[in-house]
This record gives sequence, structure tokens and C-alpha cells, in this order.
Amino acid sequence: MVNLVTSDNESFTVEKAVASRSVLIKNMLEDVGESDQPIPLPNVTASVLKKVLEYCDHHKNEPMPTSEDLAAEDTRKRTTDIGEWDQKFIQVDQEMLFEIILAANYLDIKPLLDVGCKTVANMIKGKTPEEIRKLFNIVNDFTPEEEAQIKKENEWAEDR
Amino acid sequence: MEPILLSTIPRLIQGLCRPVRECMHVEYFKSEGEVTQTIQKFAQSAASSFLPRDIDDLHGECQTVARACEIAVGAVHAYTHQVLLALKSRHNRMILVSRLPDNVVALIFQFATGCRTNSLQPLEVRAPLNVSRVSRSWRKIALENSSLWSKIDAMNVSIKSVFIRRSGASLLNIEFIPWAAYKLSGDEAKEFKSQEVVVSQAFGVQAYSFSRFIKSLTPYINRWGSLRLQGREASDFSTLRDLLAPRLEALHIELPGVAEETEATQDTFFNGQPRDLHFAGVYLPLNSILYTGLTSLHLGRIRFTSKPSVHQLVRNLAACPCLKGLTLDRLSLPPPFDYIPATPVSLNSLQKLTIASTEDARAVQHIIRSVCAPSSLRLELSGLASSSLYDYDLLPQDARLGQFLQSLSCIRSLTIQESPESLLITGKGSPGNEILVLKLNISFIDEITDVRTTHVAEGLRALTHSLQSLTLDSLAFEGLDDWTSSTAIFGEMLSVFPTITFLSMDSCSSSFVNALTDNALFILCPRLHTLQLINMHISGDTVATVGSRAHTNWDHQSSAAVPLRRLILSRCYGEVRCRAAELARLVELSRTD
Repeated sequence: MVNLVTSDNESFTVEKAVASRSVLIKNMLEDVGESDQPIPLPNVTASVLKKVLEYCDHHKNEPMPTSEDLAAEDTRKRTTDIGEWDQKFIQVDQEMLFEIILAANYLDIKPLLDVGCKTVANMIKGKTPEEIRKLFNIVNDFTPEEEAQIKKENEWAEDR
Repeated sequence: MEPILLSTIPRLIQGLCRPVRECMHVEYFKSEGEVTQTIQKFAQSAASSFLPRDIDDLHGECQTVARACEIAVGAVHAYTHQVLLALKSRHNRMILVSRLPDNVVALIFQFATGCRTNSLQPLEVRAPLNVSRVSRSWRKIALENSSLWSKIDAMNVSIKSVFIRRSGASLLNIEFIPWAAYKLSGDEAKEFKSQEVVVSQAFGVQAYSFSRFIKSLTPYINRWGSLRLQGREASDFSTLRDLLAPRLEALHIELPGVAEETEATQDTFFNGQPRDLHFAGVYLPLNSILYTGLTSLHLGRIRFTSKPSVHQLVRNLAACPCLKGLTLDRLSLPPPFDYIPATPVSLNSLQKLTIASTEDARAVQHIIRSVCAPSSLRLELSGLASSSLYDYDLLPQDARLGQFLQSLSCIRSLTIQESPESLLITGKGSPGNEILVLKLNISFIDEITDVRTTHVAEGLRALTHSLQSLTLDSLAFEGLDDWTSSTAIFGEMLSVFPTITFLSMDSCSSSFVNALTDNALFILCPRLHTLQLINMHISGDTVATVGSRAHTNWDHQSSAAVPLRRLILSRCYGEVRCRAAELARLVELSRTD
């Protein structure tokens, strides 16, 4: 078993197979060897780690992405399909969604990072810039010159 | 004048702040009145305190004030604009989404850009154009990731120079696919309903200008990375004949119908050395140099007539030692199939082999027996008559099984699904790791009586014959019906898998469950400890079967049977409620209704 301590000082004891879905933790465990020392995770809060561990536990028996899988990144990025379980898992509010993505990035859990990023990509898909701004509370901070340049892009119709 | 204005203007602006703030909370006309009042108050006091020496001074001062006003308005406008931009940028830095690092935002953009339907989006909502117009920081990320801009197709060809410039040194991915070829799912079709006119118009324009499309991109031919063409006539591709794309990695061409082998030599069809070749309805002689060094090969809807075609195909495979994916779909390869290389062609990287609806099962047998692949291979055979499994020994039981189909020996669970047309068999090593997918045709129309007959029993028997060497842990049946099969066949099948510990039956005839009864003379699946029944009829017979298995004392040649320990019922019907207590007394009962 592995003991993980979050930024808000909460402890989680999990199976090694679950914790090792995180490449960061897996490497730490390999470096430290057999030890009872808790692993501090200063960038992850308890509520987020709980969610991340739920994902890791569900996928603990699946093969870890190989270097070949990572090399085939182009193919990976050609789909925004998300598995049924993962879809339900990622149905969270926007704040938690971004927290999960940040945690997956920090803990180096590529499949979870993909699920989070695909979810945001699906939110963006087929939307105008204004709709995207509204969705994420972004304001238009372009200068009038930049705005004019952007407007021009659509007008540059050339020979087909 | 200056002292008066200098002291008045700042006070005026301060005086305006209160009513302006109130603008946010009250109706505008009310606060607007207050603004006018404030201005009048300050203006009157400023004008009355100015004492001119003469009328000319007063006139000159008026002109100065008017000019100063113009400049001041411009300056205030520019200044407030800068302040506003700074505030907006600060706002954007403080919002949730800005906590994501640039590399993660770039990954989101890659997913949004790479998805299939993005090519169908009008420009204003197409990634990465839409995301590059959201904010300054998103624009910077989008423009710094050149690979986002590498795709050229019908919808963005009108602004291809923007894409080509922004894609930097990235290889270009060129697509010429008709609107109709995008097989949209129900949800996708709904999504595109409102945009259908715009999208079909763009595709319509493209359809009439294929050669112009290609010619406009030939100046960048050194940057072509992939070319995907679909839905044209073979003659249209003459445009490609003399082209040399030195860095082309993927060439996909799909034409309608079946391509016939012709005598015309077309090996100069396209110059280059792609790694990923996909030809459907396109004939290219098998001796073409394009068939070497591939990592992916798809050949579909081609009728070869030259005698040694299958031998040449196998020779081509030998020239592709790094092949990862091979698909042969609706190919017609003529006999003879007699020569099989003494040493099979070694394809150590082959991850997926798909053979679909090939006319002659002997060609499939020949290809399977001519190559050897690693244990991680996923094999998909579909559209084959179930009898061919047996008649042609498609999954060979001889020494070649170990050589070629190493992966089959890794199968631990098998799912057999019956549908009106076919039997679908899926073999997995571990959860999610599909090794074998077989789709066997079991339904045939009798040529004389014109009656459709289903041969499930024959299919199951052929399957039993072909897969008998597997050591299975679990077996699942879906939709198996005693009208189309029989308990004898079912028993025959189970008897070749004595190692199974888990058996699942979903929507099958209950008579099959009864076949599991320990009758003291014979017991099927002696290691079975868990039985799962989904959407099945429960009756007293079920209780009797479970009871016989739970209390089994069957012992044969020191190989004792394992008592059934667990029963899982899901969405079952019949006497479920009244039998549940009896079943729970016999085994650990789980219900997932």
C-alpha cells in the first residue's frame, strides 16, 4: 500500500497498482524503494485526489500506455471519443474539470489528461469565439488593430 | 484658462465617477440626467471664472479650448482603451481556464482540431480558427503550434494561404473527401443539420475543381505529408501521375465500386514512398514499388485476375517487415493457393490483421499460413461462411498455430453472440484486450427454395473445432436460442473448454442452463464456480441445476469438480422473486437488477 498526502494535509492509503497509474508516483516509488514514508503531493487537494484515485482504481488493470502508444500521438489526437465510464466520471463542474486536468498533468497520468482535454475540446467544438468566451468567462482583450487583422482572415478568399 | 481647466477637469472627472458607477445599477436615463447636471455645473463655474481682456482673446480661447478638447478626447480614449485592455488581460489571467498551462491548452486545441467532424465546420466555428480568435493568450498558443494548421480540405481551401503560412515547417495533411463520405452518427447529423447548406455548398464547389485543388497545392509538394482522396473517378487521378511528393507518409485513395485488374501499367501512378497505403476500389499492380517498406496497408474492393496474385501479395508483405496494420477487404484473389513459403514471412510488428469478405476462403487460409506475427496481434475475420472455419482449417490446429497465431494462445475469455445474420465471437486476453474478432456468416438463402436458413449449430461446431486448443477462464453466450441451436451442440462446445470457471448467459434459452446439471454421470465445465444469468427465465429447473452444481461430488479419475459458489442474476424474469431465497441458500447470490 502507498500513503499519499495532499496539499490540505489529508492522507490517502491506496494500492500500489492504483497509485502507480501516476508516472510521477511510480517513479518516486522506484527511486525510494520499499518505504512507509508518505508521498507528499503539494499541488493536489484532497477533493481532487479523491476523484483522481477513483479514475486510477477503475483503470488499474489496464495496460499502461507504451512508448509506442505515445509515439502514435497523432492517431490519438484524431478522436475526441471518450469511453462510457470515463464520460460519466468526468461529468463534473468546470472548476473540478480543470482541477482534474491540472492534477493529471502534474501527476503525469496521460490517459486521464486526455479524457479531461477531450472533454474541454468537445465543449469548444463547433462554437464561435464569442460562444467560447461566454463558456469560460473569457473577455475579448484584442486591440482594435488585432481585431481588424482577425476580421481580414475570413476575407482572404483566394483561388481554390 | 489653463489654470481653470487644469483644476476643473480632474474635478469634473471625479464628479462624474459617482453617476457613472450608478449607471451600472439604475436605469440609464436617470443617471444620464445626473451626468448632464454635473457637466453643466462644472462648465458654468469654469466659464464664469474666466475673465478675458478683450473679445479677440475670448474668441482665441474658445478655439484653443475646442482644439484641446479634441486632443483630450482622443488622448482619454486611447488612455482608457489601454487601461481597459490591461484590465481585460488581467481578468483573463485570473479566470479558471487560465490556470491550465500552455502545453495543456495546446493539447485541448489539438483534440478540437484533430477530430473528424472539425473538417465539416464552417470557418467561424472551425478549430483552430475559432480558438485563435478568443483572446490574446489563446491566439498566441494557437499560432505557436504549427501542427494545428496543417490540414487543407474543402472547408478551408479558400484561406489555405493562412493555414500554409501558420503551419510553418509541419507536413501538410490534404483531404479531398466528399460530404456524403462522412458517415455521420445520429448526434453528429443533428449537429450539422443547421449548417448543411453552407457545408454542402463548400463541398460542391470543391467537387468541380479537383485538378485545380491539387494544382494549387503542388507548389508545396515538398511539404505534403498525407493525401486522402475519396469519391472521384479513376481518371481524375491523372493529375497525380507525374507528381513526386518526397515526404508523403500516407496515401489513401478510395473510389466507388470494385477495381478490376487491368493490363495498363500504372506503377508510375504516383511517385513517392509512403509508409501508409490505403487503396479501396483502386487497382495498382502488385509489383509496384509502392508496396515496399510500409507500416500500414489496406487493400479493398479489388479483383485480381493474374494467377500468382496471392503469392505476390505475400512477397510484398515480406518487403514490409515493419508492417503494423494489414487490412484485406473484399479482395478477389485467384487460385492457385498451393505454395506456402517454408519459412513464414516474419511480421514482428504486426498489431492488427483484418480480413473481410474475401471471396475464396482458401486465399485467407493461404495468407494466414504464410506469415507469422507477434503474440500481441489482434485478428479480425469477418464476412466468412462459418463452414470455412472448419472446411479450410482457417485457424490452423497444426504447428503453424504456434508460429503464426501466437496471440490466440493468450485468449482467456470468449464471448459468442448470435444475431439473425451472423455469429460474432470475441476473444480477449485481459479486460479490454481483444485478440480475436470473428464475424461468421450463418444465414444463407437457399438458391432453389429462396428460403433463408440459419446455420447456428454448424457455426458453433466449426468454432469448437477451430478454437479447441484455447485454455479459457470464462465463456459468455448472448442470444443463443434453442430454435437455431441445440443443447447437444451447446454441451459439445462447453466440453472442449473444461477449464472455464466463469460462465455468462445473456438472453439465451433456459434449456441451455439445464444442460449444466450434474447428472452424476457427466458434468460440463467441472471448474465452474460462478454462473451469471442476464435477462434469462428463472424457474424450479434453474434451482435444481444450481443445487446439483453447488453440491456436486462428481469425481472422475481424481479430477474432482468444483462446487458452484456464486450466482449473479441481472434483469432476469419468471420466478425470480420466489426462487431467490432458495437460490441464496445454495450459493452466494448477487442481484444487479
